[in-house]
Amino acid sequence: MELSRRDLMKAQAAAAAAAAANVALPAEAQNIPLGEELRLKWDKAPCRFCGTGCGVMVGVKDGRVVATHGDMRAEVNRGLNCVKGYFLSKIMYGADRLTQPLMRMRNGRFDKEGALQPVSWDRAFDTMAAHWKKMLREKGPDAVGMFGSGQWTMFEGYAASKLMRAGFRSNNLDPNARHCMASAAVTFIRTFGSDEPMGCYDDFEHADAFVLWGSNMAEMHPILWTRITDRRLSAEHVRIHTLSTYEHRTTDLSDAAVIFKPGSDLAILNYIANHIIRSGAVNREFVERHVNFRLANTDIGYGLRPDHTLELRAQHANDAGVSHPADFDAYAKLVGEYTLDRAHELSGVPKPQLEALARLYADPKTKVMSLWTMGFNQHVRGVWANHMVYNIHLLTGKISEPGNSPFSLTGQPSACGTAREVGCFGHRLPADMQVTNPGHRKLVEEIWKLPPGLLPSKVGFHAVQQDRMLKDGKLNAYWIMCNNNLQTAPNTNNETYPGYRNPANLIVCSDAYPTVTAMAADIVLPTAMWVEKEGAYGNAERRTQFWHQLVDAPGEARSDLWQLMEFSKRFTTDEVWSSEILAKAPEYRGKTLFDVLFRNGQVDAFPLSDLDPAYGNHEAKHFGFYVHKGIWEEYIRCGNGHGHDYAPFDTYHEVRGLRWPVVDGKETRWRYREGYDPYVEKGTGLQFYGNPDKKANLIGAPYEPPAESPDQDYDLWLVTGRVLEHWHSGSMTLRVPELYKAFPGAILFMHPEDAQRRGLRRGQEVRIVSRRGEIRSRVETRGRNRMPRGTVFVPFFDASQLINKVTLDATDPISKQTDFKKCAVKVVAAMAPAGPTPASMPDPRAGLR
Amino acid sequence: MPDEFHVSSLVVHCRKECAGGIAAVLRTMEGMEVHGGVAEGKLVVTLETASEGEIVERLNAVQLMDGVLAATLVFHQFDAPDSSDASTGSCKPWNSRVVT
Repeated sequence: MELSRRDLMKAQAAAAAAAAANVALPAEAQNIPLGEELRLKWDKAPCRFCGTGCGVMVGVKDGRVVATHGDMRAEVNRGLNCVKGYFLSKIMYGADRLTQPLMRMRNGRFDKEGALQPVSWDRAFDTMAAHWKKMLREKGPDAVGMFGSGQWTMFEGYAASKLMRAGFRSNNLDPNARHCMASAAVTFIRTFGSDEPMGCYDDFEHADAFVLWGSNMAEMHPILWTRITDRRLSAEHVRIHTLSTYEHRTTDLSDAAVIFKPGSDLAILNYIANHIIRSGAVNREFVERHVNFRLANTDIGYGLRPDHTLELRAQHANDAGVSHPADFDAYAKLVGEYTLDRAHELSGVPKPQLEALARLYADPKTKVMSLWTMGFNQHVRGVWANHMVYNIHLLTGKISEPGNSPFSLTGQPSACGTAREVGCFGHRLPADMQVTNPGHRKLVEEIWKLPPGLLPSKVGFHAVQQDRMLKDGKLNAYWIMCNNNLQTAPNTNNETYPGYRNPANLIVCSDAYPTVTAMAADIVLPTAMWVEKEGAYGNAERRTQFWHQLVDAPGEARSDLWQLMEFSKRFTTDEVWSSEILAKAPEYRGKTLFDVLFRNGQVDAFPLSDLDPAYGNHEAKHFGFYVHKGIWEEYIRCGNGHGHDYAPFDTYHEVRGLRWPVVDGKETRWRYREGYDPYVEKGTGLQFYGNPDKKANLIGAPYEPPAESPDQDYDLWLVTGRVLEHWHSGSMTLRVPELYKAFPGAILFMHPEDAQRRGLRRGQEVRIVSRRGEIRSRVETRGRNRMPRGTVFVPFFDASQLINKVTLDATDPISKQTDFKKCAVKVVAAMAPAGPTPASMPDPRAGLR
Repeated sequence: MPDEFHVSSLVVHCRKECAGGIAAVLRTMEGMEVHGGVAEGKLVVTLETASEGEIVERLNAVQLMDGVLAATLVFHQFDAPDSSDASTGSCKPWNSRVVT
């Protein structure tokens, strides 16, 4: 290679980095020709991975994605990329990509005990439809269910919601976001009457202090972490306090690393509130005008099966979500118990650290951004933890303005857009509407042009409940889309896997790769992913982003949208709706679900001529109309005019996303604040208009202990989570050779003294054992995570070391989100055989090595 | 593939007081060049490697250095003797940050 060409490439690389960092380079490095002749076709798309929503540029050549780089024009990431996003071009090209439907067969027929064999789409769908119809006929809508995804496009989530609720008349639709976002989402509604953050990423450039509550942003949200470090470096006074149950890359780089005992964050939060009250730092005017005080029911159990001792013993297991009107004094009395001494005692955090943290929140001149993700949400008191952080922001009035921002981060690319906004939970309809509210159901029935009374009011099974009902034989027809639940569900070997293999159940899994879930299913449907289809995602700051189909999916792989719509053709209203409904609305008789849900004059309103001729669109060409545009224009009628407004469809293909509510073409950066949010009435300054009285609910709650704590037999806390290189269960990132090599298998992070006391050496094979099950792993006493004595950490990406065989299926009783951060285990050397292995699950990693 | 040649670039955020020292260490690492940003605490670094795997290894090493707050990839291009199909990173530099 010529030297001059190397130099040119290097100069280009340096210029791109300098531009992204906004650093001026010496003159000789500037003004270099940036573009060689373009040989690739470049288009924008949001990243496929986390909820940050980075913009990437996708380079396509000969029908294949060959390059990606950070989008300089994307406000979220400004040209930067994390290592996962950097290798994004490779996620679609794993060697074991699924390209045809598979079905368990024996002697040429479907047989649950047979082996997975290739079949046609028609055969797969016919087998499914026969079982769905049988279950609907014999057991009714409760027997069918779907486990969806915060990685579905918004179009896919919407189609799934229509098919399940209006088609099969069942709310047994829940997303994997239940495992990740439910506590945050539920608390937004309880507090503000409207889901999702009031602030946005612009807060990063305005805050004086950042408090990370159990979040390892340096690894899990690296690009947002870059924005925090940028702010830290550009303003001397800025400080970062990170709370965690162990030390990690984020605590390394923070000004204060506050290491607390698992679950004691509740006590720390109440101590801060107490400090604010005692020190006279309450913003009285704000509190009087904008806040209602309430106290939560206490002793609410742990979301285990109802016959579990802990549930029987709990006073309010059955009305955990109830709270009662109270006043400031009652709340002050409650948090008054959380003195500095008590908080120190419960948390183990040195008092000066607690005081410094409390002063930060109390100081009216310090703008604070609080950030959290799974540490708060995957918590048996996750809703309370979310409340408590809002409580301290509300007491001080530090909310809904630049830099003062309680900010819930998200883990999936469209947990907000799809799972929450479109409404893919068992209790939700689009735009914050609820299935139990007759007015909401009526409005949605009207928008969807469906007979009155059609939509079911019964709240559907949540994620963990779906697994229990599958196991118990109450839920029998089950479709898993765009997630890997057998790997990510808690106590999976006892509570999830048995339901998949229950002979009464037909389990269908749509995925791009043979995950452990797919390999345990009865029918596996090959799925088109990411830029193989047109899509829309909504990120953590309410930003909705669209992309075009840029390449074709391999083989017979089809998008989830195509699958849902095509499947709907196999049912007629007479087969799935009650005779009372049809008697009142005879014009719907004999029509297919496809006709009434998707050929309704709205979803099919836009002809193929509306497509941009520069791009493919498999669904539009197959169904004969611009499906995505029709869905979008129907969907946005659910939210427009009441605080959830979006722009028209075509706008989003032009812009780098817009943050809703989008009113008169303008996005909203800070909700509830006059001057930023068009919904706030003039002269009021601030209105939490999601609630009828336009006030926020400050809900007080105490510290309560976790469901399971270490004892004599199981003497260590187990915390699970992620690592930088792998995203969630690793089904995409493990197929990128560079990422696989960088972190090939899970390891057990442990304090060196804990290892020594058990006679374990670094690198030694060990058994991690709980009351539910066990896995084998290897000990790591150094490396990126440094554990305090008594706590161990295992990442969950590795299907060959399924740590969720060990975890406990305790959930927050209000949000029904699992606590993956707190259970008791013991760790012993793996010298002797580990005893009888429980019923084995398939190892999808076998083909990867 | 033999003779592959990868150029990538990183922004390395570091504590300002450490930036000079970190830049000096980075300059001693094979294939690494520091182009500027010492005053800002945001080092603009290019990296030349023979494979993509080495990029990840090197990035990890940089992230673990004392005083480094974040190391982020920005750009990647690879070239091989018989190929010129790599990403050219066609984006234009974007100089004004959208900070309001």
